[in-house]
Amino acid sequence: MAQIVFVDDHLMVVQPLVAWLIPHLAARGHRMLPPAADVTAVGPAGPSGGVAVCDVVLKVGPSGSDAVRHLRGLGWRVLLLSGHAPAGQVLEAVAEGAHGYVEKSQPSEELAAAIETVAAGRLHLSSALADLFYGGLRASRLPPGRELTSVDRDVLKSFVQGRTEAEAAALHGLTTARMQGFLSRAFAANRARRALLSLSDREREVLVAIGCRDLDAEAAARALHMSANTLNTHLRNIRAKYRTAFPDLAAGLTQRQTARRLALDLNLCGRTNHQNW
Amino acid sequence: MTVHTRSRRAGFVAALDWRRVPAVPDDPDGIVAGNEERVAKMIAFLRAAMVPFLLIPLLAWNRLAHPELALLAAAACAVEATWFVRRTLRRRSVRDDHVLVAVDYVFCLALMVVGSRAAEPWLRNEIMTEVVPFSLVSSALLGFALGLRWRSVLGLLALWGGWAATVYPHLTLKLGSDLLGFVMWFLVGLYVPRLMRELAARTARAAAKQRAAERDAARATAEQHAAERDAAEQRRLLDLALHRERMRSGLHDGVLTVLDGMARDDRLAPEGRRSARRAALMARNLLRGTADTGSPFEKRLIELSETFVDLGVLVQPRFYVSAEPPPELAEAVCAAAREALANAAKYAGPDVEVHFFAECDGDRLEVSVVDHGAGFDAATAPRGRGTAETFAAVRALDAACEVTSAPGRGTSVLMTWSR
Repeated sequence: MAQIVFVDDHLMVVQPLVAWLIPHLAARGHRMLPPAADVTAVGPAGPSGGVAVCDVVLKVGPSGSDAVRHLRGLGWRVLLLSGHAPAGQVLEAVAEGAHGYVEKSQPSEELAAAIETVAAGRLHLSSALADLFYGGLRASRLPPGRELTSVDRDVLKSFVQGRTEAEAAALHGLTTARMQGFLSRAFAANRARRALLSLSDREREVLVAIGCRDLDAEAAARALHMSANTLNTHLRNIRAKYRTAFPDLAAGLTQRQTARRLALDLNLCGRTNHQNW
Repeated sequence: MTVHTRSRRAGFVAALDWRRVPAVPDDPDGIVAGNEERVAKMIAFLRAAMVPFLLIPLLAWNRLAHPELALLAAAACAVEATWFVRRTLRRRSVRDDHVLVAVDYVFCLALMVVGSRAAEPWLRNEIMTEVVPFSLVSSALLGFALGLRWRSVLGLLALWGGWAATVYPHLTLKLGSDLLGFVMWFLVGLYVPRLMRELAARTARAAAKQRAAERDAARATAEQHAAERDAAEQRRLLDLALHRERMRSGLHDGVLTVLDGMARDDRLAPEGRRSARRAALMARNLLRGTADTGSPFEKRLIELSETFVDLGVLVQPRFYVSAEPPPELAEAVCAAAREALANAAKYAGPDVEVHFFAECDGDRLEVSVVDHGAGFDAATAPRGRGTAETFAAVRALDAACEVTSAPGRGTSVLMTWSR
């Protein structure tokens, strides 16, 4: 038996969803805990483990990849959920160790199936997440051996085209074990891709100052209590990482443009909006 | 000889050697060429101006041994000077004009011989006084045209020899003055062009420098304007991005939440929940920002997708277009996709999502329309005319078009093409 908890501050969606899921999951031996509005309100998972269905964008407390890290630290497997979140933020949160991502528009039956999959310790690849993986695959190339094979790519495309796991397996002649192998490789490739773009806390602050608040270098350095040289070094490093991760997308972008694009992609401006504007 | 003396001599030689004036490659105003023309006109004027001196011996017609030779010399000088002037004006330069130098030089030697024979030996020095000005120009021409070279120095010495020989035997102190005159005119022929050519080169270099400075200033101004435009564009893009972010945030926290909540609210009628779900889908497609594409093919796909969402079909678009397919193929594929979407709208069922996928990199195209709706028996179901015709049109362009369906298991239409 697994515990299930929803972490979402949009009660209008969560309440009817939970109401529908409680009997459905109970019939399969799972227990639904009361929803929480932020991850700090969630306690540790029980000894048999549990699934935290967590909104990618949370207004209060840790959000995105920070929320995933926090929940995993409490022993939860995380299934990400969102009405709509920027691609970079979703992929970063998935790379942090989430087992899947679904959009809130999905029918309740599909969401229940995704929870079942994650509760069983397996990865869940929705069409929405496959779309994000496929976009990343097209935009950047990992070193040989870490990138998906052409067969993996075709399987991934089947998910993007809306086929279910069973349909994709049948289409490509994959056994359950081989399908799990593909899913592991797809999630690992995303982790490797995001690792190229791993940013320090200080670099994220620079992204917010330059990319969201549009401060000039001098004002940004002053606001962040660092020298202009240090700020420029951070900007150079950020652009270098972005170029390594997405060479095609980064071509011709200035440091400031890169910062802006990355800040929006990681949804760093959303919170800044609330805090500063 | 001390180093100091050697350097002074080198400086003196350099001051006379106009060949040391550096060339100016960047001279679109023609300053150097204009100067060469002025130098040519100067020597041409001198040549023409010295002809009247040859008329003076004719005033002593009765005292001459051979007055007809004096007349012949004057006429020949007029002809040679005319040729000289015309040639220099036509060529606009005397620099390195070896033909001009050779003809004028030989003519002057001949003039000395012929002119001197017009008078008796004791009168030659006097008669040759009138020949001197014309001959001195030849000495100057050596400097103007050849510069400080061994051949011009040797030419000067030959003029000396020719002059002394033709005056012989009437050698007086005036011979020294004449020979010095040849040297001084040669030096003038070196020094004046040196000054003029150096001045022209400096002026041309200054003009080139000025032009470069103006170009740099213009470039700096253009770069500044570009930077200002870029900064303005950056501000506009940031404003747009922040506007979109606020819109996304507003949709995510407000509209989408309400619509997703309504779509799951059992208290609402199925049609109301369906409409809410469709509106949520439209909002998500809007947030996905696919309308930003610059690809005409992708724009058509988006329009197609939006058309069917407006008709109530839950279309999930997934487009990856990095290059355009051939136009006739794009046309056929869009028509077939329209039919596939229309079939999904009619037969899949009201709450079924339809996944509309397209990927094109120029050499390869793949378009699919997949749903998990009612499906049909492909073997027995009647095929509509529109479907049959549009799918056949795709196949006629060497593309594959495969329809897979089974009752209760949805329908898949897959079109693939490669170059």
